Parts: sequence; structure tokens; C-alpha cells
Amino acid sequence: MTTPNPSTQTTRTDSQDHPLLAVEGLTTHIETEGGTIHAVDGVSFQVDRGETVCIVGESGSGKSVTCESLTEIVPQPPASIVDGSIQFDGEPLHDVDEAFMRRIRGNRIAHIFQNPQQALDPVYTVGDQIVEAIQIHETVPETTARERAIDLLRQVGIPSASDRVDEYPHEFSGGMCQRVAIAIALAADPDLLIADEPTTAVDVTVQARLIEVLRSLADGGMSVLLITHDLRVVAALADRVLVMYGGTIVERGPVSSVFTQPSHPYTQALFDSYDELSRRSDRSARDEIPTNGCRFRNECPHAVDACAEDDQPAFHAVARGDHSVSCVHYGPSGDPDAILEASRDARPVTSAEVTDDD
Amino acid sequence: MTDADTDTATQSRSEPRGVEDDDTAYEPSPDPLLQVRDLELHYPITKGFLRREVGRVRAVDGVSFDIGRGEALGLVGESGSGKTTTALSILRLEEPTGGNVIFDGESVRDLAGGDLRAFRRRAQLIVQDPNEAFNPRMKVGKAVAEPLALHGMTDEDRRRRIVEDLLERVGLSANDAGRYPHEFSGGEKQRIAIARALVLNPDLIVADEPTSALDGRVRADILGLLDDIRREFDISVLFISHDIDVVRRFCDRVAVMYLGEIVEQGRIDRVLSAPKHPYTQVLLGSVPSLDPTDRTLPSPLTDTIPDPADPPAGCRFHTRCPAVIRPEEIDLEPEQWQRVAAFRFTVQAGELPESIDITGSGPIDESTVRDALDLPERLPDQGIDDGVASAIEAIASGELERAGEILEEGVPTVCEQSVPESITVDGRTVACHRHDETMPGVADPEIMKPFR
Amino acid sequence: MALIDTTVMQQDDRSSRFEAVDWDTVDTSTRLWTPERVTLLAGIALLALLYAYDRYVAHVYLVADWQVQTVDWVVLLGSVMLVAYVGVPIVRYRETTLRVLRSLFTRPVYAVASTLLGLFMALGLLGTALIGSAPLRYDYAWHPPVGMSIPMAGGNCYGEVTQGDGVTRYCEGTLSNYPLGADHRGIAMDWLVVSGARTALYVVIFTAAFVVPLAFAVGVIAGFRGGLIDDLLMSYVDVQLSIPAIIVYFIGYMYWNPSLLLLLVTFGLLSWGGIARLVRSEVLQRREAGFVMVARSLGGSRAYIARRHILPNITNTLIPSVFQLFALLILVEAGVAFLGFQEWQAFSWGTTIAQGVDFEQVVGGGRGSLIEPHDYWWVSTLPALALSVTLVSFKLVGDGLRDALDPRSTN
Repeated sequence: MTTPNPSTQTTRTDSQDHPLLAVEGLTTHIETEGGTIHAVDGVSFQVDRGETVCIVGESGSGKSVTCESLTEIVPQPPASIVDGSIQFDGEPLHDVDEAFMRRIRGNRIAHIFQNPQQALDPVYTVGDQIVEAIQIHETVPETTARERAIDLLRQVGIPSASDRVDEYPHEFSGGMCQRVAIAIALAADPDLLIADEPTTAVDVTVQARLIEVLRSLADGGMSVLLITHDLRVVAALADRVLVMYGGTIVERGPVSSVFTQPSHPYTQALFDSYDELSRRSDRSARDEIPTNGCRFRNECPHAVDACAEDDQPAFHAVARGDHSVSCVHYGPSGDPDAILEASRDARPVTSAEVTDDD
Repeated sequence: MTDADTDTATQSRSEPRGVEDDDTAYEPSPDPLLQVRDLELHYPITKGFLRREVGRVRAVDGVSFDIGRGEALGLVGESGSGKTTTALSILRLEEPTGGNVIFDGESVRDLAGGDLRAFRRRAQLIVQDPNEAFNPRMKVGKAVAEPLALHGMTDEDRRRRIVEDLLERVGLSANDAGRYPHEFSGGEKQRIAIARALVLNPDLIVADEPTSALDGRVRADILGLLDDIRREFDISVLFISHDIDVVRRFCDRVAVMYLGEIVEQGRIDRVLSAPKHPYTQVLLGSVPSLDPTDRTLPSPLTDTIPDPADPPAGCRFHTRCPAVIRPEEIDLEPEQWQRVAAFRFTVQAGELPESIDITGSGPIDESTVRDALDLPERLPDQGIDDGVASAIEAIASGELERAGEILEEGVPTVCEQSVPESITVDGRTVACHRHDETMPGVADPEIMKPFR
Repeated sequence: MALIDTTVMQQDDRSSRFEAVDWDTVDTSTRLWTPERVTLLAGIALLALLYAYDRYVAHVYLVADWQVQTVDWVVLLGSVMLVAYVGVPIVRYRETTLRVLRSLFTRPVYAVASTLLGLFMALGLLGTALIGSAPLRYDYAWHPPVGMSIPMAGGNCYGEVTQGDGVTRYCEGTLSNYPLGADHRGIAMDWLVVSGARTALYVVIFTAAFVVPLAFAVGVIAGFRGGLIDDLLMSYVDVQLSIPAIIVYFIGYMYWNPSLLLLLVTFGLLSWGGIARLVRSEVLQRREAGFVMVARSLGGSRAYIARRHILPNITNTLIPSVFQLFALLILVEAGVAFLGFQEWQAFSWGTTIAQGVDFEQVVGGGRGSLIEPHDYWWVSTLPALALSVTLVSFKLVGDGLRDALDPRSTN
């Protein structure tokens, strides 16, 4: 179902010929009393070294389950990973034993979550928790580990790190806790940081600081897989964007291209929700998401009969680079201009545009 | 309400957004529904079994604003700024320790008996988290009818009729009345919450972060519904939010709160497009742009939010204010002044700037600190230079507190000396010394450029 | 807000307000005469009449041979309260009751437990009234139940008597008389089990009517009021939790002899601290919840909020612990009775079990043979069985009710 653009493969300048993370056809189901939910339904993407990839979508789109399936931290049951292949640094990550997965989780792929207070253990000092994370990763003496812990705290922007290392999580504010959580995630020097809505629970001023921290990590060469529903956070951090809806990826591409020309009707609807003028009061309060054909067709203003056929439509290139979209209108028989035209009126108003400097 | 009423309401509504009326100062609406005057809520900090008061948390400290009939006022600020406490005090869910709330000409504090019951009908609350807005053991039909029952409507058929009609109006179906809250999604629950807030024909809805638990299109839908309804029924709304996007879309006016005080208030088009208070500027600047090529995120002078039990003297924002006023007699470049001030307020907050917090690598010497702070070996201003030098000395010998005292003395600013009055500037009120021409000192306006 | 007049309403204008309510015409006085209150007052009045009749007319026996004692009056009062505030709502909110019962009976284990518990209640309530009182008939001591035969002990036997070795005669149990056997006084076991159920039910009624509401009230007040009141109440609970009820009971015992009322008062009134603490912490958790804030903004009183919004939401933890308390106090009563510190006329299961495991006894007059507890095993086994089944049922029904009351678990 994916047709990776050959040009993107060759333009990678990385020393190795394989991406850091390559996911192919990932499918995760969740069993509930009401039946099976196709939370992740054939998702393919890759993350290169030093790249920040954002998965954007609304709650229920399957973006979190996708990332929790990668290292199998999604609770099983009720979830079960039914299909898909995951290559991490050239090695398969699916069908591996639990011990191997634990090593990967601690050392090479780190997670941070929306609510940092829950990720920190309230009865240990933050220093102890970082030292523990360091010592799981490698055998170093206590004092070295402690100095590294202070370094890490400083790296994530915690002032007076050498004093605060001995404080307990409850003495930190929400934003500071999130920084500590990032420091713990960095303790093992991972290759990939998976950040699940890391700035959702904090104020904008704190969010701005966390964005800077994440950006400095990416600048330092770390790969980041960021999950968010906030297009503004995406704009501030991402190199590439994956737009998810109903367990499938509907649009993907470099952030500049996706943000200047959102092409899938769903992506356009997401941008519309940021627009002052748009009002979608005609949208019904409840919608069933189909499990075949284009998942978005019930809510799509451009839906045609072809949308209900087969599975989620194939990806078609939209513009420059590897910006492609899973929509029949962009296929050989479609008329993409009509869709792009329809959304042009509702282009997002950036805060820069509404600002009139006096 | 008749058709004609609705029409005039929507018309008068659409007009204030225009810019045709020039620089006339913001005036409170001539016939406000709600007037809040010097509202104050201090929580005592007590100690011991006898609960001796040892201090006060100034959650709300002298807040004043008006809401006109049919008007939506946004109250924005970071968590801990006191915006929710303000809302709860207005509804008398918290007893204010000072000030006055006047609803439709009557002081809410003095209401009792039937008048209080009428107030409880006319002012409704929508809470933040739709997941805890409903009693999980109560069917939503009952929950929406609860206000009617609480106010004495015993006719069950009549209650059911009203509720079913309302559920359909907010985009659900009459059958949903028989279901439990957990059977609904977050967006649907917030629709039901709106229905419950409408059931008593309110004149004022206090909405505490009604969309912050929702994302994307659901948020836009709920906001649209709330907007339609308030325009249709001419309901005044006090809209509390930390999300500037949402406030920009929904409100007519906005009041920005910091540490229990309103720092700037005025019409949306003025305040949000050309903020005048440095805090508003920082707040707006911190919202990332939707343009991926514009990734500048300005930061305040220091990150530490002061303790509301011990707020800074003078202007409460001065410890974090990038535009903190430089005394005329201090001769420094604007950037140097900013760095020195940042140094002072960071140290006074009991912290070391992260750049000079170098543990384990020997004692801190003056030149490393100056390097880290990007200060030259000698500052052009002798007084400041001496202050900085002795502060660094104190830090090197581990006396952070004394360093703070030295800097407090050596790096003064008018911002900490007096509480700024609210002044009308460019069609909004601002409480900032920078806009007070009688204040001595240099505001260095070019410093604020990145924040706009 | 101007109210819509009827002419506008008739235009059925979508943009008009849904339905205008003229609040001045709506009766805002809270209703004084709820069915619950009416029932409670009627019950208390009836009880007062009965008491007067007992005191001044009937003297010794109220009805038949029922000598009503203080403990009976207390339990009757408790029953009136339970009928008013549990029985009446069950009837008033039939739909909810039926839904809860339906979901309770979907799991077989809860269905069985509920049925057994229902049987226990029925026996306790109606049993003694139906089978009357039991005379002492020592000549039928240890009469065996149906299908058993043991060396005759009392001298009389309803069934076939067979001659054994020497002077020993064996008595065969019958179905018509003493189907479950008899104890050493010749009192029928079925009567003893039923009487024990009544005593246990007394414990439950007393707990449900007086102890649990007290715990709820203290917990809700402490949680809602907070501050000094909270400190005082919770310190008191701490002190109370450290007083061993059994010692208080023994002290009382030395003054007033064994009495069921004394036992109920000492154990009941010293055992509610745990539940009060639980209620308080749940109230603290929920008093800031959104729906509580909304109810307060609508002018709901504290009592209204506690009853309508707090209590229904803390059943998850409270129903099991209340049922646990019932079971615990039944067990405590049986235990104290087993040790012999309970009046034997109460015919508690504990008393009967104790008598059933009593030392070996000489029977059959002067030359008699020895009879040991295992020979008359039914005297201890039957009440022990009844006690165990009751305790397990209470436990299970508590869990079942918790699940059944939670709308999230039934869908």
C-alpha cells in the first residue's frame, strides 16, 4: 500500500543505507466489549537519523497506539499487534523476545508522555531516578552517574541543577517535571525519542521552553517521533509530518509542503479548525469511521463512490519532494485542483499575519 | 425573545469587531450585566492545630472588569494566575475576601433567598473537563433536567419536554436523555453541558476552559455551537481559557491575568493584534506560529513564576519582564541591561542561571560568569559593575542569598517601586509603567520587538 | 431575561427560546412531605402506639407470647427507618431497582448469594412468627434428625426405637418431628437456626439503621466542612479506632449482664470509624468534581449534593465495606455468644454452636452411657453452616451490588 518515492531514498545523505526506523503495514487491534477497534490499520512510515517526524491527528486517530506498538508498551491485552514489520537500525523489532525488547526500550528508544507527574516516582529524588536510568544503561560509579544526571538536568534547562537534583518530583512544576522526564529519557543516550503530546498539559510559555529543549535535542542529532494534535507544535518542531485519521496515514510530507498546501480533505479540515472564519456546524455530532475504503469518506465534502472501494486509497504525489496523499482525487482519474481550490479560501491565519505591528 | 430582538442582537454583535471607531478609549458598556470591582480572594495559610494565619495566598488581588449584555469576555493567563478563582468568586462558589460583584445592578454578595435563587438561575457554569462534568450515576436526561428540578419544577413531563428539545438543539437526539454520561464522547458531553447550562434561560454563562479537553475539529465544533447559542439568545459569557486561539475566535473583549491581577484588558482586535503589556506580548509570542518557517519563540526574562503568597513588589511581572525599566542614571546598552536584570531576578529567585551553574569543575570565577552571561569584563556603568562583581563573589563563596541582596540594591528599577496604575492606551487599559509617561527611566522599547 | 409570551411561542420559531418558564409561578419551597418522611413519621407513630399499648394495656406479652424488650424496640425503630429510607426508594424508583436486580442476577454466583441472603432475611423476619416459640423438652434431648439414629439420650423418641448393646437404645430420626434434630434441651434445630437468623438480622438492622448512617454523616461532614471540624472528627475517629470494643463490652457486661443491646451498642458504635474515614476521603476526592461545582452553582445545598451526587458515586468502595461490616458484626456477635458472654435466650448461632461442641455428657439416667459432641454433630454443624453461608452471601452480595449499581459495568 505504500509506494515510497524512490527519489527520497537516494537523497538521504546518511552514512548507513537504511533509515533509523522503518515501519511497514503496522496493524494493532484493541478488543473492547463493543467489538474490535482497528486502532492502527496498516501504517507505514520511516524516521531518519536526526530527523523530527510528527504524527498529527485528533484523539482516537490511533497516533498514540501506533507509537506504543513500536516498542510494544501498549497493554496487551486488550490490544494486540496483529500485523506489520518494524525495522529499527536495520534490525527487526517485531517478533523479538521480551528481553531484547526491554533492552531496546531502555537504551535505544525512549518514551515521554503527556503527563510527566505520572512518569516520575514520587518517593525518589529526581537525581536518583536519572542515576538509576543511567546505571541500567551502563555500569558507571555512583558519583560519575550523579554528575551526568546534573549535566542532563542542565541540558534540559533546569536552573540550579546541582541543587535541584536532590529534590522530589512534587517540588517541580508541571513543565519542570516534563524536563526531568526528558532528562530520564536521555539518560541512556537513546537514538530515538518518542514524545507523546509532551506539551499538551502545560501553559504556552512553558510549552515554548519545552519546544526549545526538544529542538536542541534534534539539533544535537537525535531522532524524535512527536505525537500531537496541535498543528502549531508541529509547525514549530517537525521536519516531516504524518497526518493520521481512523488508524491510517492520510497525508505525509515535509512540514513546509504540507503546511503550505494541505491536500487531503481531512488535513484541510484540521487546518480549518484553526481558522477564525470557518464554522463546521453542519458536521454531525457522531460519525462511524468505516474500516474499509477511505476512512474519512463519511465526513468528507468531496466524497465520491470510488472512496468506498477497496482499502485506504494509495498514496499519490502532490507536489515537491515526497509530499503525498492517500486520496482518490489525487489519483490518475481525479481532479486534485478542485479540492485544493476549495480549501484555498480557508487558508490558516498565522499569528504573524494577524499581527499588525504599530 | 422575538425575531426582532434576535436581529438587533446579532447586528450589534457584528459591529464592535469593525475598526471604524478610532482610538477612543475602551469604555465599560453603558448598561453592563456584570460589574466586577476590586475583587479580592486571599486564602489564608495556616499553621498548627489552632490554624494561626501565617500568610496569605493572593489568588485574586483587585480584579475589575465589566461584561455587557450579550458580550463575551475572555479571561486568559497561565495556570495559577487566578482566572478560575475569579470565576468561582463571581458565582459565589468561593467567598471573596474583598471587592464587589454586581449582577444586573445588584450586589451578588448581598443576595439571599429568592433573589439568590434567581441569580443561580441566571448565571450558569460550564466546567473544564467534560468527563467529570456529569455525575456518572445519573442519566444525562436527568442531569440536564437537574437545574429545573432544583429550582422547583415538579412537573416531570414538562421537564422531559424541555430537555429533549434542548438535546436536539445542541446536536444530539432526544433518545440520548436515557443514556449515561460514559456512553458519550468528550465533544458530545460538552454539548450536553451546554444544554444543561441553557436549561434555565441564563443571562450569563461562566465557561471555565470549555474546550481545553477537546482537540481539532471537535473543539471548533463546540466553540461554534457555543457561539451560535450565545448570539441567538443574547447571553453574556465569561470565557476562561489559556488558549489564545480560542479566545480570539470566541470573545469580544479579553482580560489578561497575571498572579491575581489583570494586566491588560480591551477589545480582542486591539489587545491580541497589538498587545501593549509586556506579559501579553510574551504570552502571545509563546504561541508557535502556524508557519513552519517562523520558529522564533521569545522567552521572558526568567522562567520562575513567583509564589502568589509572596508576590513581587510593584509590578508583579517585573521579575520576568523583558522590558523592565532601566533607571536613567544607569548607562547600559539595552541588551546588557536585560542580561544584568535577568541575572538579578534569577539569583533572587534562589537559582543560578543555567549557563553559570557549573558544578564539579572548580570554583566559579568572575570571568566565566561574565562569559556565560555575555557581559563584558567591565560594564560602562560603575555602580552596576561593582554590584555584579560583588554578587559574583558572593555566589563563588556559596552565598546565593547575599548575592541576591547585593543585586537588589545594585540593580534597581522603578517597576518594583510602585504598583502600576491602569492606564488607557490605544483603546485598552494596561497596567504597566512603560506606558506611564510620568515614570522616570528608559523603557528601551526596541527590546520588545521580537515579542510582537 | 424577558420571558416569551404565548403568542410568540405559538409561532414555533426555531430561534425562540425552547420553553419559557415563569419562575415566579413555580413553587420554589422545598417539598416537606416526601414519601420517605411520611413513611418514617407514620412508622414512628405506630411504634409509639404499640409501646403505649405494651406498657399500659398488654403488660407482659405484646402479641401471642412475644415479650418485647428494649432491644426489640430499638430494632423496630431501626426497621421503620430502613423501610422509610431504603424500602420506599426501592419502590419509588422501581426502574432503577429492577435494573440493578437484573444485572445482579446475570452473574450466577451473585444470583445464588442474593437468593440465600433473601432467604436469611425472610427467615429472620418471619421465621419465629411462623413457627412460634419452642418449649423446653429435655426428654427429647439430642433427638436425631431424619435419617440418623443415635443412642437415645432424653428418654423419648418420635421415631423407631431399636435395642442396642446392653441398655443402650437407639432413636431413629423422623421427618415429621425434629426433622433437623434437637439440642440438649430438646429444642428443635430448625427453630434454633431460625432464631439465630433473627438475632443476626437484629445485628444487620441495627448496623444499617444506626451505625452506617452515623459513619456516613461523620464522613460527609468532615469531608465537606474541612478545617477544624474535620480535624476534630477525624481525631475522634482515631481515638475510637484504638478502643477495643470487646473490653468495653466486658465492662458493661459486669454491670448489666449479657445483653444483645449492650453488644450491639458497644460493637456497633465503636466500629464505624473505618467507614467514616473512607467516606471522608471519597468526599474530599469528589467535592471539587465538575458536577459538584455545577450543582453548587445551581444553588444545591450541601445535603442535596451529598445525597444526590456524592453518595451515589462512592458506592464502589462503600457498598462492599458496608456489607463487610454487616458480616463482621454478625461474626462478632456469634463469637461473643460462642464464648458464652451473650444471653442464651437470644439463641444466637454462636450459643448453639458452643453447646454443640460442649464436653461429653452422660445420658440415660444414673447408669447412663457417654455421648460425645460428634454424636450430636448437627447441633454445632447446622448453625455453623447457616453462619458461614450468611457471611459469604453478605460478602458476595456486596461485590455484586457494587457492580450492579455502576452503570459503566452493565453496558
